Amino acid sequence: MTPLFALLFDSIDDRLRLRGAADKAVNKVFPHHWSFLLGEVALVSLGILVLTGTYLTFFYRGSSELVTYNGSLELYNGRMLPAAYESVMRLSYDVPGGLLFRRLHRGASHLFIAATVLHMLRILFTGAFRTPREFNYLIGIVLFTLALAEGFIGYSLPYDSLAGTGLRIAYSTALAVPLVGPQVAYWVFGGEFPTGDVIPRFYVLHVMLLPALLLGITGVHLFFLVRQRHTQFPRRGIDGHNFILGKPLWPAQFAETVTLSLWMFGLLAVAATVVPWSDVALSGPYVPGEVGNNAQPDWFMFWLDGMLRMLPAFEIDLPGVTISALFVAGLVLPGLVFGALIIYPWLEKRWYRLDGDWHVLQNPLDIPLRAGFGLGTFLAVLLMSAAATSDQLSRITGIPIETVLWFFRITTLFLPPLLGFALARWSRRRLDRRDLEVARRESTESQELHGVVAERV
Amino acid sequence: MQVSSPATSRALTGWAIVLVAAVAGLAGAAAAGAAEQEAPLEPLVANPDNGQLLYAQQCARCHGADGRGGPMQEYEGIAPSLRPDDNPNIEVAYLDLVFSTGRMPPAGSPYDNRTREVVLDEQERADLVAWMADEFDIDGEIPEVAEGSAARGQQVWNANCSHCHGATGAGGVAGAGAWTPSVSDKSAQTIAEAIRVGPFQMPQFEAGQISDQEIADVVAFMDEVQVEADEQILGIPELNPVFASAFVFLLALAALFLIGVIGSRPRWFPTPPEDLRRERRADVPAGAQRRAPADRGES
Repeated sequence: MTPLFALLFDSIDDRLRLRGAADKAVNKVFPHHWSFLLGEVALVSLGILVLTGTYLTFFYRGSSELVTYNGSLELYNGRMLPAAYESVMRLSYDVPGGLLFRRLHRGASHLFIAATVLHMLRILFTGAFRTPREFNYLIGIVLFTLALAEGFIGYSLPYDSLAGTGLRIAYSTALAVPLVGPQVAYWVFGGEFPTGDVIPRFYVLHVMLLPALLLGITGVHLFFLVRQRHTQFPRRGIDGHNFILGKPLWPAQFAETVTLSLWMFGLLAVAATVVPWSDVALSGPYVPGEVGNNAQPDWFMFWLDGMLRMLPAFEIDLPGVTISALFVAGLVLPGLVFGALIIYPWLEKRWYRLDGDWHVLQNPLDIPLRAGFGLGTFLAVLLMSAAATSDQLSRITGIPIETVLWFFRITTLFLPPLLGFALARWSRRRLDRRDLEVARRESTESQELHGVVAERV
Repeated sequence: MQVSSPATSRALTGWAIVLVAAVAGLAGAAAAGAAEQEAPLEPLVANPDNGQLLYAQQCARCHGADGRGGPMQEYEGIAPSLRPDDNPNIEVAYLDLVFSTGRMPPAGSPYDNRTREVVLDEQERADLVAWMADEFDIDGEIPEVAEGSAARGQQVWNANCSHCHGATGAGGVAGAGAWTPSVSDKSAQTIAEAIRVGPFQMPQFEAGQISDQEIADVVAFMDEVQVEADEQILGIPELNPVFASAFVFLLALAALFLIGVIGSRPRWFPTPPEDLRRERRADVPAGAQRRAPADRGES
């Protein structure tokens, strides 16, 4: 370090006493595996989202009041449009780089949520959630929920016809909550849909409250990561519970992260150039009562939409309470899946009567409960998601949409439990086989050691 | 466990080159597609003799030589009569519509109404329509479409058409084994005919509901969609969430490829120090212990 910098750092350290903590953080050990980079992909995407999103807020107007668009897009020139949609058109067609930034923002949001999902699956299936990391696992689930909320609200903000349809469904889902539904819906949306309040409110949520929570809690997530030891995959000949093998944060892990970030910028830039992620000029502004064929939410909400498509439109009237299909698909089902996610670490601990700390990752097949329950639930969510594409599948295959839906109803009901039980059974057999082998080898070895040779009958 | 050797890194570099080449090829193909220009239209002169021949080849098998229809041989169902005295739906616009969309003559099942191959070219269509109109006394004419405004057309479209054909005219499902065809790639005449005729499951729109000028506006809006599609590198004007999810899948794959490459670089991976290695069993001779994979020719 040059003397000038040394002087600067020393004088800072004299005042703030950072050296100890910084040295510790800099020497934090990161084991090396490609799947450990999934979380970093999410982190870098989050950074890109903040940067591109900031640019978008310079031009976006969070309001659904009608204003006149005057700009270079002939389709809308001189037309009255909701201000949100008008500003999105201005961003896309009149602001330099606006469309690129919108596409980057949208592409990065897809990558953010995809990486979050993959990261979560990695944590779940390799057992990185086990003691002493349960709390960080719960923080991760909170972050995932926030990411989904950000994604849904971001999808609504342009106020194009698809976005309005999504808002309408969210409003109806809130209405369908027993007892308090209408009050909650009116409170969130500021009256009966469509209201002028919803876009301004969602805008504030999208650019202020939720990002603040997301970034703050991500900070806590990372703080926990640094404070606790990183998990690692088993390596033959290395006692992973007592030793950790990896590279330090500075400079090796830092170099890797920078490399990854630069490649990701490139990837997203190419994706934003090629794929029209966020073009909404042709779908038009939201007009209540107008909805296009093939309306879906974004992919990470497919499972809820798919469930809504599969459930028959029932309504059960109990005294004072009405349970509707919308409530079940929109709230009960995600509640169940998230509930399962939250309790799983404790379920596994109780099931296998485990205690102590765990630092070495596992093959999910080594834990039958995890293999069966985890992969079964994952398959169920996948099938529900696929059901949301039923109209496109029907079009592509030429099978009537009713048949496609029945196919998904039956497979979603039976396939996941079947796969779950089969996997659990199979992995238990696999373990038994291995135990048997170990026992046999040990007995042979001990017999050899003691000079006793078993006679074959 | 990512232990990279020169061979794997060569293979990964190779894949990266393939990927870049594929993207470049795709972009080139899209650019070439955008450069294609439609040939200017020339007025067609119908040749009824050829139309008669075409009718005998393509239509008579199901609809009969006299055009009265009847039970079909290959498919269950009854081929409708093509004579206005039996079938009041039949008019020239209807014939032109089913020919120009490829609905008739069918390439496969006549009941499958998804987008399909168009069998007759423009000249043949004119020939066949001319001969049939004359032979079966079919009235009506092919509508002329004036200049329209895409902006007004979008409003007409969203109020009347997008429920079934989608916001950008990409088509969709109509339930019970029926699909709405894509519209943006259809000609002005075809769109006008469909609105007025109301073929198959589609409702018929009278001039009181959608005026001639509004039809022209809808056509202008669909042209706008097509222009927008041609400007895009992939030729897709706007992604619906299902196609977007397919692109998200590709994006995630690309990200996985990236972290696969970066995560398999050996240069930041230290060799484990001797004292970290676990003695598995005290009584196993040292030579029998397997070496840690990280030992293998790292430097």
